[in-house]
Amino acid sequence: MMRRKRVVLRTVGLLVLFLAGCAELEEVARETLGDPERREAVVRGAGSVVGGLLPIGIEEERAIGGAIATQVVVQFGGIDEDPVLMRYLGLLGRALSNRSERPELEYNFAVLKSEAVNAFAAPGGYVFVTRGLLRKVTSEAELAGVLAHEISHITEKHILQVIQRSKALSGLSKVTLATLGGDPDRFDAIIGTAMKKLFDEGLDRQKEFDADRKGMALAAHVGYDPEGIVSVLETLRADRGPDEERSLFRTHPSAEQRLNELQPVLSGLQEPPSGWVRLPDRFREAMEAAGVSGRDEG
Amino acid sequence: MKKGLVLGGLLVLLLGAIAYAETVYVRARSASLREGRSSLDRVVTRVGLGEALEILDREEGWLLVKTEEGEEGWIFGRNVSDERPSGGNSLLSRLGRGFRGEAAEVAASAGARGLDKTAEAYADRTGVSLEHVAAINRVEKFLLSDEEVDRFLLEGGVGEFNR
Repeated sequence: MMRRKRVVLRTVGLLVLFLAGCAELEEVARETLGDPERREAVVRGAGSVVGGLLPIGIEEERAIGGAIATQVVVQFGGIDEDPVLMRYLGLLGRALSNRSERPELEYNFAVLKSEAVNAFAAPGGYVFVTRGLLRKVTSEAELAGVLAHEISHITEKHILQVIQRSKALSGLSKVTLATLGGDPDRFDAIIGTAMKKLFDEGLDRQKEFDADRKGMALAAHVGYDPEGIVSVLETLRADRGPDEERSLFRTHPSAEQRLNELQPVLSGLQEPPSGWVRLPDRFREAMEAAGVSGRDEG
Repeated sequence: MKKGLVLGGLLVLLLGAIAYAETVYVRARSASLREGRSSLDRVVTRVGLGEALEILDREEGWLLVKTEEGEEGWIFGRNVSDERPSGGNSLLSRLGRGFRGEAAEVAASAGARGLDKTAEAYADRTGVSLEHVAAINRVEKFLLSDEEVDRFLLEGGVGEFNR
């Protein structure tokens, strides 16, 4: 009886200690990190260490992202290398990524020749948008909203988290370039896991909403009208474009749900005295020069 | 005795000033310090991600700051934060961010490396055409400087360049 009581007491004690630990962590985060988003990231980060997820370093992230990028390019018709398009997308993308939560990454932005309406982000800084999506966009602020959403998937490491929680890493004590390069079967399984999420299942809805919210905040932070992503979603709600099977509607929550989730973020953003910009003319000029707008290649 | 009191007072004042010196960190990949509080003012110097800056004054969303080398200039408030960003390192920033190994996150900005070898081997194994791989490599090598990005924002009047 005495022994049982001791066990119960010890269990209760451990539980209290654990809960106190979590509360303490939050308390420390609250005191040291003013920004609630950073605070959440620190607490979440500590949780992943506790949860025993294998860390994936930047070089390994680039290897994984690069491999995914090759599949995106194959499945969506190759890269449009029009120099005006590459430059415009690169400048806008870098303007956003330079001020993102991971500005140190070397981001790559490219347009895919596909007419399906879609956009992708792969770990390590690879961002793709299709020509079909560009045809639905009417201003630089809208495109900034789309790119910022994709950048946020990378900064939040959404695909890496899917890989970290998958069986593809089981049995490994460390993820290194040597383990990835030296075991092609395992590497193929890792990329297969990521592609299944990207192309078929889609990420968890919460990760999509998260990328929407952080993307909207990033676009506004750089100086673009955060309603850009809202108007893209409204356009897509009315017109899904060609090749729906390969479009983002298969893998993303509905535009209605995304708009609902974004509303509180939008009302919480404060427009600076100098104002936000939309720049529809500069976007149109770039697209016309690149031969994207008004061209029907079906 | 009187001299000692004066010196003591000065010491207290000095310590107080040090204690109140507020430090912020560059949270953009790079940013400009300018002679005045506008994007049209001359650039004094550029600072890199994670670089520590001491705040000397604040006005209308701009901060007058001093770098560790003693250079002073105005920086747009949104380009700094109270917390040092995880990927930043002021020494590596100053040295051109080209070093690998010690700071893995910073190593990524060496740039223009092309597709990773493991990824290329994967592409080869899975039958991705050489043309597609070459196209990705061309995108990776299509470099734009931070100054070009700033010019792009200036031409559009975006953010700190909005007048």
